[in-house]
Amino acid sequence: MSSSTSLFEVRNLEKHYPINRGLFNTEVGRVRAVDGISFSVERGETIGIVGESGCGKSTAATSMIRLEEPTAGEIDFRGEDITEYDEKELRRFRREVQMIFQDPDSSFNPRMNIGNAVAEPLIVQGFDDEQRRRAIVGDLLERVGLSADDMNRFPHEFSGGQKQRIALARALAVNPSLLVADEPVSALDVSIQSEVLRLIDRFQDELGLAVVVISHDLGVVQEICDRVAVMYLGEFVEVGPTEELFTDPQHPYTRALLSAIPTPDPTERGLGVELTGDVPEPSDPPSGCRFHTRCPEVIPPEGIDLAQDTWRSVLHLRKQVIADQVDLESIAEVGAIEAGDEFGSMDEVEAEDIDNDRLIGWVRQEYELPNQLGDTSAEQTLSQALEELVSGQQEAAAETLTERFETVCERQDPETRSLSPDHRVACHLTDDSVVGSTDSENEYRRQLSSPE
Amino acid sequence: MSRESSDQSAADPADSSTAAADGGVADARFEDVDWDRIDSVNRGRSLKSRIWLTIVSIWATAFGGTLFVRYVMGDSILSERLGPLQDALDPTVVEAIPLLSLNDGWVSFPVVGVVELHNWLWWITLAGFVYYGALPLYENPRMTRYYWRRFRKNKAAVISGLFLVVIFLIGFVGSRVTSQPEPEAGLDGIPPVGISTESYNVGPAGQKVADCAGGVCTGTWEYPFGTTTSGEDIFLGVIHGMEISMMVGLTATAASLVIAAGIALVSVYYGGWIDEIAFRWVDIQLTFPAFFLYLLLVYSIGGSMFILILIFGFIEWGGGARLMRSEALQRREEPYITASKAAGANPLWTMRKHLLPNISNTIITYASLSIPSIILAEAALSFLGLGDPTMVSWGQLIADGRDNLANLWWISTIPGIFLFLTVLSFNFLGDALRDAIDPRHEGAE
Amino acid sequence: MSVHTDTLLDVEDLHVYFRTDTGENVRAVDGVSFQVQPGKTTAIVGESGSGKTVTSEAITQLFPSPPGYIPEGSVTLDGQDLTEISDDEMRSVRGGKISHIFQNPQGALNPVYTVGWQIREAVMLHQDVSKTEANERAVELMTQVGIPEASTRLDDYPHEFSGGQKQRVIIAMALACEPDLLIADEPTTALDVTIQAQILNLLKELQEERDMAMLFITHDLGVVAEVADRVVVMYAGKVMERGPVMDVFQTPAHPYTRALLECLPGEGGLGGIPGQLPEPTDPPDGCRFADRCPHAVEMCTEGGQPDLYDVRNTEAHTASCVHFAPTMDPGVVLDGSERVATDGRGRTSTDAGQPSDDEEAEHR
Repeated sequence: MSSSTSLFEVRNLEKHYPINRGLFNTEVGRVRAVDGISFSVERGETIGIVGESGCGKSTAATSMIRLEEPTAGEIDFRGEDITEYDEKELRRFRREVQMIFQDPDSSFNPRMNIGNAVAEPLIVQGFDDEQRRRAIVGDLLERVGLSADDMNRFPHEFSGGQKQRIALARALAVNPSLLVADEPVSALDVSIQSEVLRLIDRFQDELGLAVVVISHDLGVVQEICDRVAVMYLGEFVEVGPTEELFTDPQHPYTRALLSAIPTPDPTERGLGVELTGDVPEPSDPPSGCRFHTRCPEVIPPEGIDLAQDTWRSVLHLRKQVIADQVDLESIAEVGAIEAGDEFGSMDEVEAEDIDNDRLIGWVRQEYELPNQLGDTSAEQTLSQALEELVSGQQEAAAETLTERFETVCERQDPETRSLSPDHRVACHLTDDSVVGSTDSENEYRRQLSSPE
Repeated sequence: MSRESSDQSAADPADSSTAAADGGVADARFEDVDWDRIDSVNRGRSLKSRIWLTIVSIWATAFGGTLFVRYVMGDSILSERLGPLQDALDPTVVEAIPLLSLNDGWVSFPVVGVVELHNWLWWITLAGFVYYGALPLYENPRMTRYYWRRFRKNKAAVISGLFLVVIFLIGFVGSRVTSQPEPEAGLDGIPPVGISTESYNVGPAGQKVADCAGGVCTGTWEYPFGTTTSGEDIFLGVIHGMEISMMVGLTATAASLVIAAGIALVSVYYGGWIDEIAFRWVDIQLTFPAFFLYLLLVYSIGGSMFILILIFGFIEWGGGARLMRSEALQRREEPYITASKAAGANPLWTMRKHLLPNISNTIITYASLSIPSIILAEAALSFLGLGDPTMVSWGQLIADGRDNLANLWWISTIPGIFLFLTVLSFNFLGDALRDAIDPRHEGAE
Repeated sequence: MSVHTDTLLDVEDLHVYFRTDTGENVRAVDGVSFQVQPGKTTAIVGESGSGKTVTSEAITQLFPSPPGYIPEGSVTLDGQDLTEISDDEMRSVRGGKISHIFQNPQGALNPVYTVGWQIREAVMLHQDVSKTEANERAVELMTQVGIPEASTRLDDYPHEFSGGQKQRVIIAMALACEPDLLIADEPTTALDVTIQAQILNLLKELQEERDMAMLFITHDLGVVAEVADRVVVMYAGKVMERGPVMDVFQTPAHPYTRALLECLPGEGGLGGIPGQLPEPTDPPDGCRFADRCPHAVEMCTEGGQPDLYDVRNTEAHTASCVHFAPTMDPGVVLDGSERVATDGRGRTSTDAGQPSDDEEAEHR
């Protein structure tokens, strides 16, 4: 990936939005929509950027072609830094890079007929020959599968799929060398999706076009991309060749995304690893690895040897204790109901009335923790914390848990490592210095990488 | 930033420049466009827009000059305060400019002579209607037919439109070929043609004109709408009033629309402090009561049509600007705006081709409310005797008949009917226009 | 047809037409029959314009009327024909026995009321409970649909929820009155795959807990495979294929179903289905799909839509395709699925360059 041959190269691109409050509009924080991403696109190559809504992928798309001014970073196009471009150079650059938008309904001016819409890039780029312009637009419309006579019709007269074809025609009109497609098909029916994707594919072959596809749908990306970058909270967590990434995903987030795709096979039900919750706020990203709050494979601290699900349960309890959300009363109530008559009327059960050991047992039950953890030192900490918790010292319990069960994932930013020249991943699981220092962790790692 | 030939489609070995020179079918492929050549050619304006710009600049110079000579150099409340400076500014210098002369403090131009200030505004408004309205429709017969097909669905609006065209033409031509009605002693109180009234209502001279017999006078064709209490011909008055109403309504509305839309679009497009300043100004301006401002000017420098248009056209646009801004704000976030920017469009293009057409609903609604209300306001001011005393307007005629409604009812009624129909027609027209130019509005074809 | 044991909802020969200004009828739904069993999920799958949404709206008559009307057919819920009942009765069915959730979570919540208020309304509309009880119920519902800290979030406005959470709130509102049938119209289309997985899992859990039937409308066969017990494939207002989910996916019979399956991303066929939906005001003779079908023969364009013939003699799985008629050889469509795939794609790649001009027709 030498920079001299890349058509388009982005290095450490950042786009932050300041949050201004108060009388004097002082900056109180920043939404880190895009927080240092790097990638390159070769001529004729298709690269995909995938991630959930809110991960910053659309902002990445608009700021990498300077539709929004990036906060920091370098963007080279044919070896020239486009962040240095003046207005005239930028206009010329706009001709080289075109964009397709997600929503076919709103990406066309409802008051402009599609002939003018497709001709717009030509006109604003200074193409004054009206007759030839019409000929080009007609030809383009025919090549995307519509008729030249459609020129005089308005956007609302077309279906979503047709509008997306027209959007492609509009983007191609100035013969760009890079096409940025922001969720080009996610608003369309599955059957129409493949039509539009194929059309993009065909033009790419014909014109040697480089394409950046932004999508939340790994299926779409798999269909047409050569390489894929997986984005989470403004950062790339994994970048690799499509084939490799789909068959051997290295980052737990990539694995989670892959498992969420519904398969058209009713015998294989159950949507694998389910990511809980939503993407955290990019104004206050989690420390360390940004994914650790939702990660199903968080690494236990050194010297603690627990099964993965038990470890998740411990983490969950820790989180609840820190946030002071362990509801002892309702745990007591549920426990009393399960225990039966012994407690008389259920409504009158109070957490204080129940002896501590018993209540601890119920808390463990509630959080799906065994009565005795496999690891002695972990068990010691846990029982101490639970003791503190049931005796009303929530803060002490939180401290105890935090101290012992702090994981490397929340402490340290994972470095981006190259697994192969093309395949980069940012996860502590791939770092031998973090995982693999003890036998148990090696074992743990084997456990994870073996297919379920 | 030239394209290497390897970028060209392999199947098309033809050199792009020769392909472009050939003309013909090969030209129709977007791959063959020679962008380097297009970049090297300077883009000029089209002949049409050059002519238009020339007209506008000549107009601006002449109008500005007239204003300056009249209000700064000539005798006016403004020039009185200039003190010693006034002495240095001698209006007679105008005489030194070839082709120009001075006529009673007004600049007289060749061919057109003295043009009053309100007429300057009226002319440029009409020219604007031709350039931005009629000309594109004429050049684009397909679109014109399309709009017409949609417009004609609304029968009431078609009739309204026809009525307004007739009013406009009669008023425009009529007030130029006929002179203003003059009061004439003794000709007062003649009823409209075919209408009878007691002969004591009719002045002595009028009794000779009207068909009088047995104490009853019937109107004749000589004064088809009859005469006023001061013996003015109502028919002539109505015709001259047509132009006044049209002029006030259209000119003042056009001025406020241009200002409001311009301010709204620029504020929305650029946002930030431009928006802040523009709309804080609107807030302040909206606290001026235009009506009292007008009264003030009437008492200080005398009422005139120009002042009236000035007040309603240049002070009353704040509300419209607010409406347009709020609509444009929604449109600004639409992806097609981003798409246009991504294509390399400059701000002016984006505002004109994308923002403006998409706030046209608001613009037309605003215009269809503003035109009738300005026409009514002018009539009301004239009714109160605060209009331009040199011009005959419907409001004046209505006022003339107000003391004798029982006997000389036609004096107020006839111009009143015209006023009513004109205002109604503008309202109908606005609705239908808004629907016709919105392609999403169903019921086309 | 299928075995009528224990049917909650029985839609029989349903037609929904929309009368246009010019007096023509747009036949959005043109003779559709299917059943929903209690506690089970039936999925209607098809492209936009197939009539699947109108079908679901016709059950509780939510489509705009006029211009829409039901010229024939019946919708029977628990033995009661819903096409016959009065508006008042229908209102009590809606949100009572039958609840709807829609595609766009943004549009379904009123931005000026708190989420708690809206759930409370849904509860109080159909149940005679006090405001405090309704409030308790709202918290309970929100907890059930997996919104953390439900009691504090009651006072939040819809914009303070993410897309996935909004859809959860809507599900909570739909569940407010313990419906027997939940009609979910593309509930996950506007969501990310990860959130889609969450919502689908949630719906499955809730269904199991409550023994509630679901009618699931979607264009995504992947989602169908995930949730459905039975599948109804619709095209241009007609049922193309119908059957238990296992059968339909193992032996997709109708060429349209096969084409849809091939379109799925990752299935290799970057094909799409060439051509466009037929004109809904004037559908062609014969099979509606004949025009775009790689296996069409002459008799496909004659008469009406073919009957629903049994596929491989299993009564529950039927396809409306002449190749499955008793005298015909279904092998043309079924045999050697590889060959079928190639056929489909072969045609696709040659024809795709010039999709027919008919596609304009669709939107007039």
